[in-house]
Amino acid sequence: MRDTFWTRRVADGIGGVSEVMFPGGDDGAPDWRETQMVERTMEYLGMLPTRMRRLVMLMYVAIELCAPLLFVGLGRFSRISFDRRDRAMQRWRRSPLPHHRLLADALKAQLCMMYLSHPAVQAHIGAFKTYAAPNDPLNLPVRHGVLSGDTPNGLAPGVS
Amino acid sequence: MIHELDALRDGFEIEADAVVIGTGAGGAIAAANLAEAGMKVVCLEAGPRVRPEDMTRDAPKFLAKYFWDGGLRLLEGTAPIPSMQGRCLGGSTVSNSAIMLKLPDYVRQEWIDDDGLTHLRDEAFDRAFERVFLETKTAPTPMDVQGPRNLIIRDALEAMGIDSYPLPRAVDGCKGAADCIVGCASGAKQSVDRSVLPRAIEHGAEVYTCAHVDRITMDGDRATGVTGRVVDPDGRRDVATFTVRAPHVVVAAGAMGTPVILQMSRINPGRQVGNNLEAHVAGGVVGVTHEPLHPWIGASQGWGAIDPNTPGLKYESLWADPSVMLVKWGGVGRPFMRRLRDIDHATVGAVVYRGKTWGSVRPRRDGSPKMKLYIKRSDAHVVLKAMKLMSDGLLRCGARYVFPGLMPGVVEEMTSERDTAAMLSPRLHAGHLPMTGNHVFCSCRMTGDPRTGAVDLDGRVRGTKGLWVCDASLFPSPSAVNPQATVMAMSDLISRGIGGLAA
Repeated sequence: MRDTFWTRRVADGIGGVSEVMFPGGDDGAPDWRETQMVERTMEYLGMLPTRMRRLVMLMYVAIELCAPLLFVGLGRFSRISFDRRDRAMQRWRRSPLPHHRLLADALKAQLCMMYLSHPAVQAHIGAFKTYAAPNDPLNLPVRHGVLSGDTPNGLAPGVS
Repeated sequence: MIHELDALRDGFEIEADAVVIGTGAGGAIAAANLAEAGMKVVCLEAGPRVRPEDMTRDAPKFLAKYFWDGGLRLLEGTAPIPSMQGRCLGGSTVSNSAIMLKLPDYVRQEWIDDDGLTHLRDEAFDRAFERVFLETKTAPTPMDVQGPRNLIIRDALEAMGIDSYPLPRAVDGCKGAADCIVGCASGAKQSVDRSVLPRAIEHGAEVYTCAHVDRITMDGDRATGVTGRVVDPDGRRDVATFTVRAPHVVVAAGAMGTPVILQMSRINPGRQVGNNLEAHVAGGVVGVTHEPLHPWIGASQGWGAIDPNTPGLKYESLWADPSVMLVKWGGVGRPFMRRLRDIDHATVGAVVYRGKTWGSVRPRRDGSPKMKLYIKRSDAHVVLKAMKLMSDGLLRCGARYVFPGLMPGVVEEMTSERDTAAMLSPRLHAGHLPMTGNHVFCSCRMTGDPRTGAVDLDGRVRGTKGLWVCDASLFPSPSAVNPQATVMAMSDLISRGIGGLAA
């Protein structure tokens, strides 16, 4: 994607939202920086058909530049304090205003999809598979013979 | 033979006996039957071919490349509802869970009595189902690939007094990797590109991928072929144009694509094309247990049940990659990060209901479909009640908590039947359902009465010659079960009629 004023605002918006959605903590989960949320989301946007790409990019530009209209605070979204942005995200999800809820849902869905598809996150949640796929950029571990039809829980004996 | 992008960059202009638009459940069957009947058949697919090595487990990238609108397609109307439709050789059969259920008898009777589909009385319809079940190797999901995530849904339904069973699917040798949504790289899933299109090719059909049809060409009331664009799936750029001339045109572009192609071609008998869009009303809950369920293993949708008390209500287990499955779950920020480890203990119980929805499909200026769908509050309440039942069942089976999606007045972590009772609040409506509208139909209805449907009982578009429809847009009303088998059976009947094969 070309480096323009608008693509920089999109990246700022993605970063500003990702930081509050996937913050670092003591739970060991990879944060937004470790999962390269901005770079990977920009790459993903580049793969979308034009109309959808424009719509999603518009959403991030709107978040980044219209923070005052969304009652987050003055200035660009990504430059507002973490706590204010966090409160805004929590508020939008339960807002009585449909467009706030829609925005929160769209941000959550889009960025969660990117976050959860990072190999480090898949490793953190303990994902594994029953066979090795030829194209698995997530590097999911494979545990053969883990399923069984002969046990009450469907797992082979000895598997927890 | 399958023609791919690199061979099509200069466009093409060809003649055939029949052209089939779309290679999903309906199109593949039509192409195979017409080719078997001795016709020179050309199949056109808007998306690319997906080989096992293309089936990346990175779900967002798979969706971006092999789904319409990059997987971000929305139904507008009551609320924005995601609708995922495959855009690749094999259509949505490449990325769905391959559930194959016969049209329930009461729906069939309703189609006969209320919609005038009198030909469905005939045993030929039963034989059509038998043929598609055989060709797709449909069988109940084996116990040895259910895994704990599916089995706890069985237990939850049993706890609520509902008989359930392993879902029949078009899968042969399932590995239980829950990869259905990103294709099945193991080759077990019998998507139509693997199970049906080879028969078409064996009988001489030529399959063109990356070929997006814009219009059907007409000479008076007679269809004469199609025109369209060769589209690069990476970036979706147009690289060339194409023309296919054929006296038989079969449209099988799905309930969203078919009405758009017809309307763009100014074919709209009785102004019925694109009207009457319907979808199954759906919902689901995430149950989190004490013991790990390892949701990433086990068949994607291995277990299900038909509600004995509410016609048209169905329960099923469900899983896809967490990046697609859990986009609403768990809150945001630190609460979400803390809950991440719960995913290993999660299962999803889905609910599908044959309500009475209504909507439309219209072409946008760029030729893409604009869909509207409206859902009655009373239908939403049926689904909410079923979600409560599923939640209660999971809690009785020891779930730590159940997440119902975000609903006013309902806690995010329901731990008791008192909590789940909040889902019965009359304040809630369809906009609160955690719904995906993947089962869509009825946008070019087949009916006995020309005033209520654009397509006649032979599958022919009314007022035209040489033009048929063979996909879910034909359904006069929702099928109450996953539509794939019914689409294939109806397409089988129609295309056998065109080709003169015994039904």
